[in-house]
Amino acid sequence: MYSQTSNKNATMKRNIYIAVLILLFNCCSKNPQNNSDNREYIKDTVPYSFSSEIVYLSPSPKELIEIIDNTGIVYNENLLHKTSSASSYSEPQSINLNLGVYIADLAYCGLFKQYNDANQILESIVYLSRFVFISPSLKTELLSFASSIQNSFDSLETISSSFYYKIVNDLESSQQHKTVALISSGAYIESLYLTLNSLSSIKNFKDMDQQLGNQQFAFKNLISYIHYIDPEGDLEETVLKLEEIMKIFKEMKVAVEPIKSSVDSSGAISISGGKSYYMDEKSFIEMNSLVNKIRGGIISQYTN
Amino acid sequence: MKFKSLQTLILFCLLWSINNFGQNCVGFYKQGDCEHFQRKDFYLMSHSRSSMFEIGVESEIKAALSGGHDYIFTCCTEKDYYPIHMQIITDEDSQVVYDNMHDDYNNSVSFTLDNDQIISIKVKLLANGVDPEDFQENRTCLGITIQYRKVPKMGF
Repeated sequence: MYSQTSNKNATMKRNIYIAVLILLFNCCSKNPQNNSDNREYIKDTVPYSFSSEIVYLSPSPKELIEIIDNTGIVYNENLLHKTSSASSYSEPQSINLNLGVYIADLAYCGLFKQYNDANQILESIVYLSRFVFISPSLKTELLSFASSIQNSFDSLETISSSFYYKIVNDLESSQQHKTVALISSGAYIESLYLTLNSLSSIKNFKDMDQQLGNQQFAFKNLISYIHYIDPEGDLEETVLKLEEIMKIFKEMKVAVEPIKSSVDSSGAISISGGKSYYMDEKSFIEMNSLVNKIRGGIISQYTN
Repeated sequence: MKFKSLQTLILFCLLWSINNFGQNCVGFYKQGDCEHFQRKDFYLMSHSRSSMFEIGVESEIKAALSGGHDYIFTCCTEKDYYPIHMQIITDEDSQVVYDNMHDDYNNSVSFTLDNDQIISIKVKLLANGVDPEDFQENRTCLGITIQYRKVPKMGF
């Protein structure tokens, strides 16, 4: 009996020695992370997928919508998608597209600091994100944020942007590029819908014709991304919608200046020139009508 | 006896797998040279990221960037894997506006963009300190940060 216990102890001791040795080896071996650094790391890694690939980086919905900031436009809650509709979506494509729609709505609320509406939208985002394969840690983060938004001292505007990137980065890290593409498409279409409908209320967007026209760079990058990650054409329906939008962008008035780069005495580089697009009234009306139609189609895709 | 050996082997494998999982690149862009080049008067773009890279394999990042902004691109990697070759190319006319090969393989470049554009950043680990035949060592973490700010108003 004693001998058996002694043997067990010896084995346990040996295993502990091995464990300690391996852990010591791990600590001393080359580690890309600074172990003494206790900062909270965000999930930003795409293991073995970044090499020899093209990575597309596009602005957040907040960055697209903020062109209406400081224009005197008042907040219009009627432009937002109904939060009660969130539970009606069951098909993965409409879940992802409408998740994007709500993320853009959150950015719109952030711009006008509408905490009450933002809170309801967050609940819809949290609800739909249950059907998307995001990491448990991000799900917890979304839930805790949704419950504490009223007490949050962080800028709602800033949070709405980081929210988008957190979801996108999380999905990219698990190679769910098609989900990212659909969420981004829904978010971009909703951003354009909110921008155009907000501006149509003031009937004065001439100062912003270039900013509106140049939003096509974000759409162009998104379409290139979808073509790159979806050679099978599973997302063809969504791409067709984006290309319809892109067609109007491409027909806009364009000013072309040769791209020049210069370096000043301090070594600072300046890149000037390139194409600038201008959305005139005709394009505005045409785009507004098309985007309203596409957005209407997305939000009404309830069930199969 | 066989059972004990098996137990030890399983323990060894478990701990080894923990080690391997630890070798990811999460948060790598927040350290080392990437951290060193971060400026307080700039914002860190949320799509700054880190990933595993292979020596000699070129990757491309296409970013839709807003005009009227200053940007800083910074790359960082493990000590032995420098230099990093970095090029900035305009998407519209494929013009190479910056190549760090002519700038002592500087890891950080700042520039001002006047108009909205899609900019490509090509990145390749040259890793002069690593034997290219050593398969175990041909991959490592690379972090890329993009910082930005609105171009400050000049004059009074």
